[in-house]
Amino acid sequence: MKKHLLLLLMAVVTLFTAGNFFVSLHAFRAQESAMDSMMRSYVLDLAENFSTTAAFTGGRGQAQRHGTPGMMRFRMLSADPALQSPDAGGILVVSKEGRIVSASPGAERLLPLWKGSAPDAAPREAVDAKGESYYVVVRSLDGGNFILAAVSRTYLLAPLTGVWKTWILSAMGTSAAVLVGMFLLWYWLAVPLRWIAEKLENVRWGKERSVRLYTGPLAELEALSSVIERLATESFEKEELKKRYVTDLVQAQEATRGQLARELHDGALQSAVAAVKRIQLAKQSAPSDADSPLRTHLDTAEEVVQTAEGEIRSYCEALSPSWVRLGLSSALEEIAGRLAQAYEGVETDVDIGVEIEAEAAAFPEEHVLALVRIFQEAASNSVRHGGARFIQAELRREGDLLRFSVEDDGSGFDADAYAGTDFEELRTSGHRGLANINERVRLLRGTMRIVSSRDSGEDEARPGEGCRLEILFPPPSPGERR
Amino acid sequence: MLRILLADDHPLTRSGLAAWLEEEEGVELVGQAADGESAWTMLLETHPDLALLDIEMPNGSGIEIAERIMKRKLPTNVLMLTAYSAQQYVMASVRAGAKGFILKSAPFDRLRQAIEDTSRGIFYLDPSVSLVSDEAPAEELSEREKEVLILTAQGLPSSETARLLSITKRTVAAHLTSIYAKLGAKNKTEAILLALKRGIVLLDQLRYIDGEGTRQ
Repeated sequence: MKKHLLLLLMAVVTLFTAGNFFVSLHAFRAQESAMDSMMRSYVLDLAENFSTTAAFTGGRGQAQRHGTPGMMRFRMLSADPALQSPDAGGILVVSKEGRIVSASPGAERLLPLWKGSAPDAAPREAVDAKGESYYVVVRSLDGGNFILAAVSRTYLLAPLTGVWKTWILSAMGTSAAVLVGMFLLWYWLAVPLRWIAEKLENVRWGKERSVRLYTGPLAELEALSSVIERLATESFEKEELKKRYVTDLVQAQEATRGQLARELHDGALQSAVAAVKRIQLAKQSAPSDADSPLRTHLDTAEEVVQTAEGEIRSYCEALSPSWVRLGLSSALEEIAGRLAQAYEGVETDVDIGVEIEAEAAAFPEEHVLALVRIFQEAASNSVRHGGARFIQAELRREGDLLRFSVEDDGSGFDADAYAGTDFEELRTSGHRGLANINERVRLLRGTMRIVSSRDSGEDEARPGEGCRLEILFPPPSPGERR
Repeated sequence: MLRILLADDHPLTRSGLAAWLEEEEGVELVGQAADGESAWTMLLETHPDLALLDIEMPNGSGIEIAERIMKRKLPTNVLMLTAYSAQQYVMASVRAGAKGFILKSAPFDRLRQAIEDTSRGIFYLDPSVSLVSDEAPAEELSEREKEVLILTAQGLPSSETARLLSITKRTVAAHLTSIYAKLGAKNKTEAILLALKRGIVLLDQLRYIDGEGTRQ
């Protein structure tokens, strides 16, 4: 209930206001019709009164004779409010030829309302030459004359009607204003608020630099949304900083490892090789007697130094493989061969292939190393988690970008489960492999996605399931080449 | 007399090798270089029969020197002498026109063997470069399989190989699978190296210039 308080409030106010509006509308109509019947009965009364009085006070002969019959009767009726002011109405006695026989004071001007010799069955509305509206009724008098009673619509009940009308109209106006206000409140406040909430729900904090929440006429909402927008930007920048930090860390780590490997190679390894050569030379000059102690010592020394040399070489390999200097194609072939050898006979043999369809000759070592590490990690995932027996790495040009993909025929990968997952979370949730790949992708300034051929329906997809890791990245610029 | 040029940037290794070469019969050490540039200059001056080149050297690697020799069509054979045992170093050397590949720490009798094989144009590959099934008897490759293997060895992607041979990519893959089975190889590189070792494919067929295969 409380969740929808605003809407509830608005609904209640709207409902009651609408009710008020319709009640007022009805009151207005009712008042109009009440006034109408009041006026009709009033004018009828006036006419009836006069004709009855005329019949009572004198014969028709007298009236004809004197020409002014019923002056007295007019006087008797002069207390009637309709006859107080000439504007309010009047009574005319008209001959059937349309001549005024007698009239209440100032009532002569009402003659145009006389429409002919027929009496009216019921009062009617009529308009005089000045546009004034009257209730009129015509009755026949004895002696062939007619009586016309007219009451002005405006004058008689004007003050009363005016107040009523104003009151009702103002009630209706207020209701209408409240309704419009409610609509605007809904349209300008409730709808944008809801919209902002919806957008906020979908904001990927730290993923979007600028979030546009609200543009509209309300300064309050504008202020609120700009605060939130600033928060989003800050969180994005913080995330970027964190990412950059991780990337720098990876880069620094690779650089240190490379440096160490080079020093080991140029120093310790070369010294070991030189020592082996010297021992071999010494063996040549030693007595050829195979059992001499000198020869045995030299053999042992050679063996020991050879072992040391082998160990140093494998340290170098582990730290930073020297063959990345041979270029991407060779480096990927090398790692493919090594992986195939490493998995040989462990479970089942794994067929690992490489296809380079894009120009990769000028790749800087950093890029080569990143792709090698990605391939290594992806292949190891494919074998360990997917039980893959076939792995294919490919590099292709795709528009202005390069696409590196590693595809396997393993048991697939629930790509949906990871869709949109922050790869930082993957690291903390134990998916180090994917997190490692993601770090290299970042070094390449690329984007990655994982497609399980379970849901891709690609024509290239092999029967069975399988999984494809795809990385799109910009080709290294000439400045990056070493 | 076999005239030999030695290039290695490490002074102790170089002097050790030089001492041995000077003692050996049938060979003559015509020069010692400590980097790529001086090796190239000496090579042009002395026209040795064989160049023993270290891969990793300042001012030009052994692979670059081998490529230059191949491009200039100089009569010098190249034997790579290196501390690296990665298969791709062998492949890079072979594509650059080297006739042999030996590790620096190999005993002298093996070096002697390598020098002799290489100068006679026989491909020498150090046994320490690990190959899966060196001794497995190899079945004959068909002509088409040889073509596929050679183009693949030149570094062409399978789509390009397929285009040049007017077959589909799938057929190329099928040929490769059959080649691996026949040679007992695990992958492309091993298949090529085994084919070279056994003389199924000749070094000259794998010439590799400017990153693109040159086809006769």
